[in-house]
Amino acid sequence: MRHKCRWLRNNRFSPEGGAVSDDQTGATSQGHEHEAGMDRRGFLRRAGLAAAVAGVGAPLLGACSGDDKKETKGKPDKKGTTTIAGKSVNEGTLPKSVPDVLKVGLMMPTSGLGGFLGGIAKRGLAGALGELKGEFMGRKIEIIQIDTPVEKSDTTEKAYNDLAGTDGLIGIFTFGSPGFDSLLPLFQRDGIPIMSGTDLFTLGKLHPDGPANIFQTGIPVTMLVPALVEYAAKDRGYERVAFVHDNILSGNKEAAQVFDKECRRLGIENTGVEVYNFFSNEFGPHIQALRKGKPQAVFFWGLAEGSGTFVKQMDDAGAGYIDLDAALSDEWHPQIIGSPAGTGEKTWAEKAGVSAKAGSITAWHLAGLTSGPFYDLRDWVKKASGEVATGGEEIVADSLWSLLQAVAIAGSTKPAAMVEALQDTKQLDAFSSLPYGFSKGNLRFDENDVVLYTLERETPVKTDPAYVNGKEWTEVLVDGYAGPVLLPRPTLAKNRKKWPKEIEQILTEGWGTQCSKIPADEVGKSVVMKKTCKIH
Amino acid sequence: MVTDLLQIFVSGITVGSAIALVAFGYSLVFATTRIVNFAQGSMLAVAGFVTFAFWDEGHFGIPFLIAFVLAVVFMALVGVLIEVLAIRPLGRFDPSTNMGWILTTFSIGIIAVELVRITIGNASRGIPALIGSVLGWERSVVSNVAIGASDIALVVVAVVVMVGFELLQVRTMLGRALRAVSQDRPAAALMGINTGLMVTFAFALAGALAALAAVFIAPRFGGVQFQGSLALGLTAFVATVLGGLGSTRGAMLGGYIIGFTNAIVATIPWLGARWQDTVIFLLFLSVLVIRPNGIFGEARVEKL
Repeated sequence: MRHKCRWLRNNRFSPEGGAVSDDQTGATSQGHEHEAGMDRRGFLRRAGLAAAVAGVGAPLLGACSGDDKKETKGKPDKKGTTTIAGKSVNEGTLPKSVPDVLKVGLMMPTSGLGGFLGGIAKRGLAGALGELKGEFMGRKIEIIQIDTPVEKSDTTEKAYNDLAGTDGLIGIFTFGSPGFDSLLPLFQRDGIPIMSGTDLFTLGKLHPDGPANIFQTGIPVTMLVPALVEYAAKDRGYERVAFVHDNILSGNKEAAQVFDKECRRLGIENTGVEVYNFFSNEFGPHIQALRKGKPQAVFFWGLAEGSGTFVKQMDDAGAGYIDLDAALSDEWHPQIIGSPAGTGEKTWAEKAGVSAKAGSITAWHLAGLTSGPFYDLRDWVKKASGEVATGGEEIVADSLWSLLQAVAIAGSTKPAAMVEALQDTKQLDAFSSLPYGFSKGNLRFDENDVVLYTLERETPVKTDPAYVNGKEWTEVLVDGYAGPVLLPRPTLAKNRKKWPKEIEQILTEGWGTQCSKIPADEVGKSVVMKKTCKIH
Repeated sequence: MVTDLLQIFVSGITVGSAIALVAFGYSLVFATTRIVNFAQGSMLAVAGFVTFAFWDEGHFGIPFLIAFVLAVVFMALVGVLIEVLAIRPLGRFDPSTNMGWILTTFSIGIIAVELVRITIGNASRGIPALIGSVLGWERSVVSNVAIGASDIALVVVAVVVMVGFELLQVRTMLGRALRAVSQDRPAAALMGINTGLMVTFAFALAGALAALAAVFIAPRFGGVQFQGSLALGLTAFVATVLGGLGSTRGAMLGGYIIGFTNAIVATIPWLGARWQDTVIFLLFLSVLVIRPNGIFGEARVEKL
């Protein structure tokens, strides 16, 4: 796997990069513009926000994956062009009626509270446009990006109207634009293909009753929360759980409702839902309120900052997580289960230090394993922008790819034809990660895509029997890393149904924390993972 | 019940002290200039990130204590810069009729924050506690409530700063000069006081105070962050008005009123944290209806 990645790294080519217009000011910058910043330690740092914020996610199984993936993943050919199933991504021709420039609108926060989403988009676009060399089948790609800060809900409608009135626009990608839900009738009226990277503002309002022209390229919270509650109830055997969320982010209240519904379905007690002030950073009263119900797991559905502060104050109050036995005991040491935007981010662990305990859990999707074997975009982004993919970039890249594929399949940029083309796609070729389609109600993902992450550090917690860290610790992650990594065991059966080869690769190569194995360093598809380490 | 009461006390006094530390900055500048420095909240955010940058190995990598001192000095200079850029260009204006300072201080605050975002970064950061332990004692859990050395340090620093400002204003020539400038700038100038220098000094002190506040608040709030700091800045402004603009004691009292109210509201099961802002602003309105100048504020009488 390493040598393939090296090929990518050594084969330097300057992505032509489609023109990117900011705020429609006319000023353009190249898609491969460099930005100083993160290193590999930033792994998965922002992945969470995007996800908690919504259902983000899409994968790229790619160039760095195993041998048997050659025909399904993007691979660079001798000219440095990504190929899928042996064909260049730019191979083929479009009808003459298709405009010379394919314009894609992006509306998302690039400033303010949700500004990091813009950073994810920038990296994802840089990687994707770099691989495409700024073109698709002979047509130039132009990105028109408009900032829609989450603090200003009125900006989304204006952004949409500006984009909708742009000649040659083939579709729009939205990533956490506020007030998105209130504009659904407008989207339905115009019928422009829209890729929604998050369900932050649309939880429960899209599939199956929403506009037919909106496609969800992010993984919905309605898939993530049930997987986590199921883990708590069935895998861990918890009988009491609680939910904490902030008072600002739309969708968190709905996530709490999904949580409550799942608790009832699985027959475990929801001991309470605590709502904290997003800006207060004072969790003392909430911790005391939670303590009264003695939940064995606390679901903290917030961003990385809040997650870090919360676990720090939990630890200070003597309620830090230790292991399964302690969580089930009369003493109160609940396991922390968080949102992708919270415990799915590396920064929460940086902030909380030792109070961020190994075994803290979150959920994401198989195609978004930034440090895993399928994530071609990791190298693309590095090559094009010099930055490190932190998670969520695949959503951006694949949303762009979906719109381009729709043009190719429909042979037209007419919205209705593109929407129809996308709705019929059972499996689009993989671009930046795993193959996908939208034939199941405009959703890219289903429940078999959900995977769990656990917080780990370079040195695993000492347990008897021991568990070992996965292959990413020697292949991808840098020394001293502390953050979320794949925990394959709890979702293995479901993942296998949909991705048998990929799971086999994960098992045979030893990716992720594979819990207690005997002997501890055994790998293979027949390996049996046990939870006897009691950490996760 | 005991746990709840103790938690309310600990949360109220620590959060209240944090608010008060920031509120002092507003109060100090207003007491001298009759201007509300709307960049004060931004200065808190900037101070936190500047301290982080001085200390962080990826930036300057300076030992934390020295980084803190440098941050205090740096923020004092930022305070001076704010006065030079946002106030001085307005000339010899009457702050009660010329409202340009609202826009200029607000604007320069935004500029400062954006500059820090660009140069240092946007993500929240952890910094060590300046006083993380006392004689080896770091933290105790009493009746399930955590009490730490850094929490006590925060409260002590707030009290010391308040007492220090009170003494400065009453017992020193410098303090008297500051008050004189506040009460009647032309008369103060006639008395030989360099009024421009006094105003600049007030802004410098407010800047230094922002660095002090950022460092002592960080352990309680889990590090330095933009949104949290800006929100705290807004809360501190409310506390300042509640206690009486220009009054150091008022700023402290306002901070504690908000801190304890937040803790009580969050503890009451049928209210919860989602009601904090509603209750605080209802209280704020109620106090201002009864005392329009705040609890310790005094009506300014203009003699014609």
